[in-house]
Amino acid sequence: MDFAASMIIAASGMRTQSDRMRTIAENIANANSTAQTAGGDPYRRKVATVKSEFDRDVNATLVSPGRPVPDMSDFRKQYDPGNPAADKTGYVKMPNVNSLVEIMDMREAQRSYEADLTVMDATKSMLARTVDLLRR
Amino acid sequence: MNLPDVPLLAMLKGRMTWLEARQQVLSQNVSNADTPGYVPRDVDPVDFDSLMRKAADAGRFQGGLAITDPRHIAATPSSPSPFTSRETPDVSATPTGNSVSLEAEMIKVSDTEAQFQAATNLYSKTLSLMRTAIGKPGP
Repeated sequence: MDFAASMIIAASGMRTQSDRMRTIAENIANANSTAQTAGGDPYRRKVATVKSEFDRDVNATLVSPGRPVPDMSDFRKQYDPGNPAADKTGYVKMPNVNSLVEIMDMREAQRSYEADLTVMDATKSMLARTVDLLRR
Repeated sequence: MNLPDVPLLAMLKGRMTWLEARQQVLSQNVSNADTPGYVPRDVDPVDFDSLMRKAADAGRFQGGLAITDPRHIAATPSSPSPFTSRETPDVSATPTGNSVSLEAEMIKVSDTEAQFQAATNLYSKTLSLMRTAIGKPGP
């Protein structure tokens, strides 16, 4: 039935967005995670990816979360000689996470999730209306 | 006479099937709102008048179980969706090549939902008209 297919497609979008949210949460949580050793590399930001592939069963293009890719941009440096992770010059490498960018990413994921939810809701109400025809 | 053979009900059934197919395509668009290079699709509008005439010309039963006795009930196999869809970009493509506008898709979704509601209401109204004609008091 087509309605079930609509729901499966919307669900695939919701699953992908919630997985993306997981990666964003990981980034934000680790925004200040420095290395354990002196002069070592801190937490490296991960970028969530989205994969889309044609599903023969549903006969539509479904989305699925792809493997998170590490962000290879430079680390921030902060002068903090007392920190155990500081190198010889007294600088500590901080993660390349920008909270502002993460928040924007989060909003985008949230918006897409809500759109998927709206489609799911609309499909459900159409299905309910069809079933309601039986009651007349 | 089969209930779906009533022209009005058959037309509404066609309309509902089309809306169902459209909902599936819109669902696909929203899911792929973040997929690089994805272009949204929409189902082609169908001229239901010609569709009905074609169905009447081709005879009612294409395939399915053979009817060798008037008391047999026709069972038609489920066929693949007869509707075609084409790419309809909502906005000029973003740097990722994706041209889905969630707002435009939401409008289409609620439009489809409202039209489906109209079709089901008409369907139940038709049934209640028949019930009136039969003489059984309605609900």
